[in-house]
Amino acid sequence: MPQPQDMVGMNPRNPEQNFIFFELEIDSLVRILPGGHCYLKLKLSKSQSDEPILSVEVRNPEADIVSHQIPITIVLSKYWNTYARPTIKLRKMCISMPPPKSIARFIHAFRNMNARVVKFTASVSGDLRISTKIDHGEIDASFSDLQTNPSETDSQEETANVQLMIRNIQSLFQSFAHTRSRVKMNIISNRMAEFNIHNEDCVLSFIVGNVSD
Amino acid sequence: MELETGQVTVMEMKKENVKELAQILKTVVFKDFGMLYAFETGLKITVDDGAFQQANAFLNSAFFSDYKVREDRIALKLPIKTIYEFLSIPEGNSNSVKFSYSGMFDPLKLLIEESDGCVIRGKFNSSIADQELDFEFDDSAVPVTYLLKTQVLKEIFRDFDDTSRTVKMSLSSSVICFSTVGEVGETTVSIPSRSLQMESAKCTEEVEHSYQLSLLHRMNPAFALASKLILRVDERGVLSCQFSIDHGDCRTSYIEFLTVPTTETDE
Repeated sequence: MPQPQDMVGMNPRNPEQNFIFFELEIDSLVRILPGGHCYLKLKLSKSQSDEPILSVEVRNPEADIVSHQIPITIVLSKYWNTYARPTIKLRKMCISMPPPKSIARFIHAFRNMNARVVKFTASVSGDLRISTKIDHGEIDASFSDLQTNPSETDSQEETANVQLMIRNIQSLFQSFAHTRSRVKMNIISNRMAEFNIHNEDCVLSFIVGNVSD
Repeated sequence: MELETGQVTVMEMKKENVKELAQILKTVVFKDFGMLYAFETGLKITVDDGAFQQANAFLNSAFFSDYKVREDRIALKLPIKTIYEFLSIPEGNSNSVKFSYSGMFDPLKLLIEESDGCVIRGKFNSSIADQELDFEFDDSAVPVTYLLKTQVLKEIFRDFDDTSRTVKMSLSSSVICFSTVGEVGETTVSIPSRSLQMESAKCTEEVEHSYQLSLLHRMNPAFALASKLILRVDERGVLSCQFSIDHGDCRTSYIEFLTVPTTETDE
């Protein structure tokens, strides 16, 4: 029985790894999607010149279907490891955060004050502190009675903290500022954290780290 | 951050509704640093650019729900723009901010409490206040004084031709004219003294002076907040704009802008 083939090349595909990895310019999709569409269809296809594309069909309630073609690059299986989710060996603390809108306004204010780094300090008792140092002083905000889940952590410590670059998380919280998403923060180390944003029907995992001094 | 400790302070005050204070500060923060002067009767916040313009915000002690100043005169240089950003963090009106200062150029400490239980603390470094620019505005030698409503004037100021470097003000007992010369040509806007916008006009001589448009634009946030303006020009052409901001319950704050005229060499 013939085995499933790669879209490019002729490498036999393991049925348990029947994936297609591809890359595209995010801006291309961002430009198409907003606009109150009631219909969306995505299809991997080939253009007339035999180039791989993502075909995007959208429709507004009172309009015809509009088709767009976004060029994509197929990623060969030997590079798939590059896209593997980082292994998170240890979670020092897991805490539910205040609404994204709240966090977004602090991050925005810190950015306006020319702060580069924000520090999150969480405790098992549900306290969260967001702080930053600026040229002319320091700011911190305290929240309490937040939900923690000690069973999801691998550490016995009462508190944990993480420092992150503000520019790396600002767009994340701004993007969800006007949604009803719930955010959970897992502190992995003092320089790495995972934010899980829970929406009605999906979860976004955002792993961020590498604070540059 | 030990705002809550029993440490003796030389100045402490509390303001309900942080937004009101943030809005006042917004009108004067055209530079990163400013001076804060605390007196028994209230606060003065001064920002100047070192040469052409100075803005002063006057906040009466009644503006605050609690106000204590324990020294005759406190003068501090503070990162006023950063403090404004800090005061802009809370949303809504159900919040308050406490200020405290222990003296000897300790940091100015602020504590904001929001209705949802969130507490925000700020600590801002203070230093010796710079020498204040003295425009020597002579109140006794003012040929022109107008009391105006800001409603139409704020749109006039906002809509000045951006391609014009200066605005010429021609002031007389019958009319105020604002003229610009830009890429589209010459534009003149006039407010006659019989206009409903003009509550009173006193003019002992007709005067004409020009001011840099960029300096006049700094007043736009004050126009947005104020209901009335006293516009005066002294004998040297220094423009004084005093904005009156009504907070209700007979509480009024004042913002004053002093602006130096352009000279022939500037033009």
